[in-house]
Amino acid sequence: MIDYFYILGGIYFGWSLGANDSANVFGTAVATRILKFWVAILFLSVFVFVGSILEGPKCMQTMSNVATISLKMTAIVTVSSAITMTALTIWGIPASSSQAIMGAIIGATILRGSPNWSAFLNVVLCWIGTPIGAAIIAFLLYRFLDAILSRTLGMSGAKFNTFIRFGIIITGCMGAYSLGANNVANVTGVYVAAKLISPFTASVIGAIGIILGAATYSRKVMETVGHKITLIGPLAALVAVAAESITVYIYTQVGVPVSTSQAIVGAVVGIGLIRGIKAVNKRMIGEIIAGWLTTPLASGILAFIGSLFIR
Amino acid sequence: MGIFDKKETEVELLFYKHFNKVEETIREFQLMIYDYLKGEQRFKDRSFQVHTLEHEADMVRHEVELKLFQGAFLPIYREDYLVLIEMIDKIANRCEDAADFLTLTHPTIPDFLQEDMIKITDATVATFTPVKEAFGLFMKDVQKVFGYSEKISTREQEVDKIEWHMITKIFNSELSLAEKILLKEMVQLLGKISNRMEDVGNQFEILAIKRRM
Repeated sequence: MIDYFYILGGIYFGWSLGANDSANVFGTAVATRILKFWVAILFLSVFVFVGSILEGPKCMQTMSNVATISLKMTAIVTVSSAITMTALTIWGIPASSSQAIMGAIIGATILRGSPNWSAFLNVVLCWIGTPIGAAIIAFLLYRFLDAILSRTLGMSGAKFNTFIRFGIIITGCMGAYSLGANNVANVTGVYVAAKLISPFTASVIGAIGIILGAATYSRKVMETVGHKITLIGPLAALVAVAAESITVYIYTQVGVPVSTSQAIVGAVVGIGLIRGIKAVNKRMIGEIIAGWLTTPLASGILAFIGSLFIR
Repeated sequence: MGIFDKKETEVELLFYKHFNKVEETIREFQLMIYDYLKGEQRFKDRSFQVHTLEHEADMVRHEVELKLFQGAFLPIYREDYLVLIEMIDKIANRCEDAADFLTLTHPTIPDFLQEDMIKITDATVATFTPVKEAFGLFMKDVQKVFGYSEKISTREQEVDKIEWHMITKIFNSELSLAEKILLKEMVQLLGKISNRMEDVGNQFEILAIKRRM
């Protein structure tokens, strides 16, 4: 029974993930007042839960592939990741839960020689591919939608407004589903790797943690991130969320947890490329690269220190 | 999209209604000038009608504002529609100002200015034609308004030329200083109507650019 106490670390991590990442999917809808906050949370809860249950286990195997994780290590790994996410968020540095958990797994297991560097390299390649893939999808999707809308809706005010309104809600739901399907493995995948719980149970618990975080601590982040995304224009914001959802979903099928934050930044950069390379925000690209380095490093160091206390 | 854009469609219909009221105000104003120049007392009825139409336009504008505040359109677009309708409304306001001036001060229009008065009035109404075309396109497909700002500006410059020409004539004449100042003020009031039309043309283009991204 006491073994299940370790799951609290995962629920904390899930909470921090929900508090941060739900802004990437429903931040636009809340910031533009298309949806009230609590309605957005309701949509998010349903789709995160469904995504976790239906496809959450797909990414859990990656945890076992990267390293052998003992039960005691699960607490160190999840708590280190959660502390890293919380600290970086407070300092305003973009943080990725996928990178935090992987860095922590490496940090916790390195002394025991168990990390599978080849498997880890595959994961890193997926991290790099996430913003690039999202940029390409966003670029193509925006071009396509812009052309279609001009021909069919004629861009009249009322019709365009309705399209955007419903589009943002639908893409938000898509994003929530992808978030659940892909990122629940970050939250509770380690417990499956440690053979404590089944993938289904892990999906349920992970989803609850994410939903709790979104419901209790995401409002301010939603307003901030949502407002920033909306500055690029309503259609561009819709495309950014759609591209992020599609990208994260693709990596769910690949079986690797990736960062929704980096996907949305990549999508925004991709839309910026429509105006030409000079319009691309180099600061955003710098933030992505910094995120690849700081997040896994920070959580890895914390987990490494924690692992020194385990015998 | 029927029931899903009911509020937005209502706002658009009110926009059309408001624009039609402003157009009626301009037409009535033009007829008022003609009657004034002919010395017909009927100009006072037309002046009153300009007032009435301007007031009716205001009422429709308030209705639009109410519907916008009740949640029509995304917040990012609401301010755009508010600014646009206020700008269009100012065209009617300037017509009312000019009508009031004529009614209250009753300036004598010298013979050498009669033809120019008709010219500036007709040129002002002619400036409204591309504004109306741009409005129609804006409501159906906002991207098609590109280029209209320039057309409206070209027509407005014609009004400016006539205005400048009239003021030069006034101050080169033998009229008293008081009469000159009064007539100058009247001409400038007439010129302001097309200035407001130019503002509306610019606003259409700004909104079209904003809608692009």
